[in-house]
Amino acid sequence: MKTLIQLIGYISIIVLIVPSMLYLAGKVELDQVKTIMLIATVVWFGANIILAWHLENKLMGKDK
Amino acid sequence: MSEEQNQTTQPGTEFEREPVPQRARLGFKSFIGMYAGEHCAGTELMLGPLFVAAGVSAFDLIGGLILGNALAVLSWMLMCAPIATRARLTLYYQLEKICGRRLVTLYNLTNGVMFCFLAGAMVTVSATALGVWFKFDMPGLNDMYPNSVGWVLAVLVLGALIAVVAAYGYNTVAKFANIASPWMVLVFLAFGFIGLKQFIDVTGTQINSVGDLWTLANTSIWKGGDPLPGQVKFTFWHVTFFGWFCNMAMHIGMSDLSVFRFAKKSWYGVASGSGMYVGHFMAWISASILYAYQLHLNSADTDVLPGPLAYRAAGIAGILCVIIAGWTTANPTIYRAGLAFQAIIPKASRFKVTLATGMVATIAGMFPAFAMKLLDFVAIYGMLLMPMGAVIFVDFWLIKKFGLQSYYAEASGKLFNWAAGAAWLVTLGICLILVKYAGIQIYFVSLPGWFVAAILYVVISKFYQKKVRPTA
Repeated sequence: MKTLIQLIGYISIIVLIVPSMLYLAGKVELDQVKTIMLIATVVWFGANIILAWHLENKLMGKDK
Repeated sequence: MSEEQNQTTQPGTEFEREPVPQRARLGFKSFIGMYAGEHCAGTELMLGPLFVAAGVSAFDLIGGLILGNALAVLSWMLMCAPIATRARLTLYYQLEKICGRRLVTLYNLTNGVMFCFLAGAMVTVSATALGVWFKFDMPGLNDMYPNSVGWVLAVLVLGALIAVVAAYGYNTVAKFANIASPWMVLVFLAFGFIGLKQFIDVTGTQINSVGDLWTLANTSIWKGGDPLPGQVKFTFWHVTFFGWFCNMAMHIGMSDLSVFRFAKKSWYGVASGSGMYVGHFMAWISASILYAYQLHLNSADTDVLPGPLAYRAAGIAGILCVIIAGWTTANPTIYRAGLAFQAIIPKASRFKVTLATGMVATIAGMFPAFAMKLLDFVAIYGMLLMPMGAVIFVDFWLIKKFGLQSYYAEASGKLFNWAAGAAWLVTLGICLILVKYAGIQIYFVSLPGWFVAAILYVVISKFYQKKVRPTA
């Protein structure tokens, strides 16, 4: 599960930057870039917050 | 630019009054990540546009930043890190040994006040994002005072939130900042790509080679010429010195002794290059492209407002970048300013001091002067703390060669080493005279200032140490 969330996080960060490169190359419209960047942002923070929460729970479990 | 590094200089953090032991030392990678994240901050969104407002040309900007950032990296590598990895002490403790507790308190006060204003500029940056949604009047490039009730309320709400969070949950925001850091770097890069494409489209330029790109940069993006009204003209040397000295407090000023004391080798100072060439090169260039595009569309629209700039380029993700960049950097800055003040009044509660500090930063943030004059403010900040860096450098490497005592305050039991204090204050006085009467601009004055401070410290120590013999 943790690996999957990590993977989703990595993919989202790639998805964040690629549309702007495609826009520079004239392959997509700016509105599409903005939408994809927003989705990638939500996924990136979501995945990492879940990971941080998971790590904290694990550490607290160890403490107990 | 960011002030994250000072955290470990303050009381309450580990190894604050002892050398960092072998087991706690960190590898090269830790410093790469730390610098890359910390120097890609909310204020980069102001500095990039201000270069354009200063009438910078493409060669002056690119060349000046390459050289200036290289000099900054060398300063970390050759001046700060070698002392840090030998003494392995925090800046605070090392200064205390040289200067005495009372002089360090004065240094802390200065640092704390500057942190407050810097945090204020970061709150200003974040508040411009709220203007996109709530459509209130925002300050212009040459505005010094708040210009609308909406603006004051936006800064007040954001600043109060940041202050409360800094007082309650600094660690949570620090963790969030770590998550946000790689995302923020890529959003800055996206700003650059998008801005560049917008320029290509609006000018109808065909880009088939690097030469075409350079022509576009020269003729449309960074055209040079006169600065905007009220701004200082920036040349190659202005950009170079600004790139070099904007973090002067950290490298030549030695604040990052507290960071590099954890480094296994002194050459790890080169890791600062990640921060310089990501934050102070890529991010500045990207932000400057967005502003140049705004001017290209409407030359009368000179307002430097990161919120609208980012929204035009990247939509809501851009707005979030502005808010998060300002928030995650204002948070530790307010926290550290609070710690600096708390060191002066140790009995006061950290919570109350941080909250009060945050409110001062919020009030400062209402005044756009700090953000709109950020080029000048950053130069002044570096200059104010630079003399103490010279004192540390001389005390560590040279003072014994002149037959004098290093760590004099510790050796003599003095609470205020007047040689260091006078070197600091007289240097600042000389710098001010040079700026006011000799026509040297604030961006350059710190270079001669460093030598003045170094010489003064040795000369005054010759007399001072003769008069007050060490007790040890």
